[in-house]
Amino acid sequence: MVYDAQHALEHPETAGWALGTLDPEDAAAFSEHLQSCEQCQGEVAEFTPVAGSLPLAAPSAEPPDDLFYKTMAAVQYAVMAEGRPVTEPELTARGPVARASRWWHFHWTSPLMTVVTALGAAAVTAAAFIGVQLSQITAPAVLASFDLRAPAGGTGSATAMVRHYSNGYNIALTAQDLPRLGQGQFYECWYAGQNSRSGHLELITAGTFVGNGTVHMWSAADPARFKVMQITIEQAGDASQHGRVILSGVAQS
Amino acid sequence: MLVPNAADQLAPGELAAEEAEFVAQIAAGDHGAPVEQLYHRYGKRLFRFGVQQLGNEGLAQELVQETFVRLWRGASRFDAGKSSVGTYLYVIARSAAADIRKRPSSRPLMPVEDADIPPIPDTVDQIVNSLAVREALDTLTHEQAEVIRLSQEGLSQSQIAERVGIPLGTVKTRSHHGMRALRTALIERGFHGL
Repeated sequence: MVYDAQHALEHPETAGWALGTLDPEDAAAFSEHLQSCEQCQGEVAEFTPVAGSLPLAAPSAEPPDDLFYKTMAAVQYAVMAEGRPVTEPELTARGPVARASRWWHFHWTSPLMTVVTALGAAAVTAAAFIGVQLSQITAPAVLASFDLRAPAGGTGSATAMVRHYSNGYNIALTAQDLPRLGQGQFYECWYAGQNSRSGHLELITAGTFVGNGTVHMWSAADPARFKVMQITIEQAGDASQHGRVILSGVAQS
Repeated sequence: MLVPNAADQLAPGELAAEEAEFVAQIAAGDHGAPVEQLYHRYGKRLFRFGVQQLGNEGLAQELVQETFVRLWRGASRFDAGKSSVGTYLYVIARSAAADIRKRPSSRPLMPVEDADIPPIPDTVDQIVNSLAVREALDTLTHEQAEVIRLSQEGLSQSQIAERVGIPLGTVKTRSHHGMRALRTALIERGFHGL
């Protein structure tokens, strides 16, 4: 059918006829016109299946922003639980000596490391000179790092470096451009564990904070087991878990 | 077949090839960027399908996660010669929805009358059509969408005019323009049955 805009303007009842919304008097008058008007017959034939499609429409629901991270985490857990190869190197518990050895080997050829190594050598000499054990003045190597990103449309980013000490795991979190907090709100850092499954995350809190910059937090959670980190906005006095996810990332060894 | 929103600039053939490549990458062990790409193209549709199938946004979230986990598990079995990635995802989602629905904890606390249950798509074509109608409705102007929505609530045109506070003639022309725009949008989205 060739669409005639002028005719459609004169008889816009075709849509109401197909939708079944014409008032009785309009319906009676249009019914009479329809019998002899090929243009309107063609338009009604086009609109009728369109009207019939409307009850089929899927809900207009919008997924929450953090569903993306939940989905990525669910896949990550499945990979861990089912033993398939992963893109990120597997995190395994390693002793301090093994970690130091790996770190040394990995960075040895870097020009920056030449400088760092020279400075380190000076530190060793100085430490020996004053009779202090090296282990007492150097932090453990970074066990895992997280590059935390905002969901689509969100703002902010952060990096987290996790080091293992004898009494727990220290998290050095550096955040910038986080969404502003409302009255009584704070940021909370969470780990999600490998017993998580779709829709049911195994969560352990790693600490709370209130601003951008670097904060240090302590947790008993081993990033070898809790491989997803999330930052949420929480409301003081709200016992429900957990708030809106503003940043999320997966552990890198 | 639906054209995913995040890749509107690609021709359908290129899109299908790119998505098949994403699945091949997942099968090869990359569960990062390819999963992310497919989520951005299909996550919202799967969520809406989940709400429609399960009647609950929490369960719909679970459905989306489970669908991508099953995609990862079955990626090596995907055959681009037999179906598109979109179809493959909807088949997975339909199966996952059935499994979630069977769980005792997923059942509603109150009995639901049959008359209250909207039509639930069963075949992949029905799922695609259902999502296409929603996305076509999303393209209408607010004014057009309003009269179409009120018509679906059973109001006559004069009742719509009174409800919205506009002349009857305006309701007629908005209905007409809305239905024409809707038809065009449905055709663009590959709706079967026009």
